Amino acid sequence: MAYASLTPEELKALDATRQKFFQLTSSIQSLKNDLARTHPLPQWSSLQVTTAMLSNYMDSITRHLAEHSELMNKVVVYPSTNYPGREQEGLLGMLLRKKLEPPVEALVEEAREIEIKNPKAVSQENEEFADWAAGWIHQRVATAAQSEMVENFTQDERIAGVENVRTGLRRKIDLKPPKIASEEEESSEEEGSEDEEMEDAGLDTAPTRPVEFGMGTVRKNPNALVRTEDDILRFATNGATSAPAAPPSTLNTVWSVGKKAK
Amino acid sequence: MHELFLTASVPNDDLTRAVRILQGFCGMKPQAFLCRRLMWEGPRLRTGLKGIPGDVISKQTPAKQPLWKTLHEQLVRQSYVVALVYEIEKGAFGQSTEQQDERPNHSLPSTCDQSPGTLRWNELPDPVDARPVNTRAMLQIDNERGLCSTMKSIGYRFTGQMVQECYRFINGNVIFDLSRYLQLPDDSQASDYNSPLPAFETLTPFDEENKWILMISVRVVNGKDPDQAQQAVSELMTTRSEFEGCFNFHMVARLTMDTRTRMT
Repeated sequence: MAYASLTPEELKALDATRQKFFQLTSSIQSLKNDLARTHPLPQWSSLQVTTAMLSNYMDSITRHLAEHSELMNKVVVYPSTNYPGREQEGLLGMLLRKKLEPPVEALVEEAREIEIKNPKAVSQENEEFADWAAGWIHQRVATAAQSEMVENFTQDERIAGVENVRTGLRRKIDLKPPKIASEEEESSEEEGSEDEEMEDAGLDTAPTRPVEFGMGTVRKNPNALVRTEDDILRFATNGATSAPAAPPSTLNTVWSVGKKAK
Repeated sequence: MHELFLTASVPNDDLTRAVRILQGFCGMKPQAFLCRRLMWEGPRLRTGLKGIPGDVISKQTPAKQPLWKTLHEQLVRQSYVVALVYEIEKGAFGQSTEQQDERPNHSLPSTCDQSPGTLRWNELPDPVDARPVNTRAMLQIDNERGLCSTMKSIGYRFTGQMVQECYRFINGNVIFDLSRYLQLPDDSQASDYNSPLPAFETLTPFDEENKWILMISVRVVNGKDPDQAQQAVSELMTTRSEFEGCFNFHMVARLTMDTRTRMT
């Protein structure tokens, strides 16, 4: 038989390939199902986890294929002589097909084009981000050094004795080293307050946080009536607590008299 | 000045959601305010109305005299219910009975008459025509002191008061007012505009179900100008269609918002 020429290791590698592809396809399928069926959509965090898993699978497949590239290149698949080729022609064609399916081919082409057009797009973005981060961190360190650090002397100066340091400054400098414990406390406090600030800043948009409004609860009037929207509007406009008893025609008369008076 | 508007009601249970939606739509935090609204009714006369005497008008600052004159023209033609609106702080409310002994009563620092307030006159909305929104003439005189005395001097009668709790949002030219109206618990307090307000907790919503009214409105200087009106209408209609399925904005029967003094 054809597979007799393959060593057990090679067979194992082929089987592992099959296993890995099976894992990948079933994960993609379950993600598709999740997206189609769950309402509302799955949590963003779970989507992120799934995406990470998929990318892991693909990564492992790529590594696996690269590792066994020699084997993959030389293995040729062909049907046994006793395969019922005529009856199962469709299946045979599918199994032996080497070209990509047309939609898949289109996708691959598209991806290659993107790659060719802007090969450096991703790295450029990363560079931009790195530049921005570097600029930001410089400023932040400067702010921290100028206004947030409580230490007046460097470690070396401390070891040599702060009394010997010639600062050239007239103002008095606190010679005592800041307490480490209090520093930690302060920094944790600061972090805490920063967190609070961030939470406050997010007040407008954070969807889970209750909106800050409401002047307080009011008492329910046991004698109050259920009012229609019209009743409420009437009350708001002219203070009337009930619909006018006069028929509209009378009001119209008043209206026309009013007009004449003008 | 004209106001073009549509209204919708919002159940109290949906209030948080409604505020969040509007907050997101308008991209702003709500402006929350409380207003004490005093209603003043004109004399029950069909003819022979005096309006606002000339000396009252001439007492006003020159900038506001045209407003008072316009108001006079309206009040001579027809007797109306006019609202005086005073924005109030929560501290202006009294304390509940348990707290009353411990802390002095923080009533209004002065009576309404001494506080700056807003006079608001609304015309009966225009008859329904081709426009898909309500339109009414309106006049607002802001930041005036001594409004109560002025109203009394022109023969207007204080008929009642309420507290309006309102969240206001603005998007483009459209003003979103989400309000509910609270009644004072005690009739004797309600009938005296100089009495201090009771504790906020003792107020009762006018509607037993505690519904809120969401009004979207656009103000135009001249509603008779077709261009201005058309722009206001289109902004309101856009807003209405954006909120379709969320808030059911609709027109109001004009007599619901009748501000003319009833001759009964």
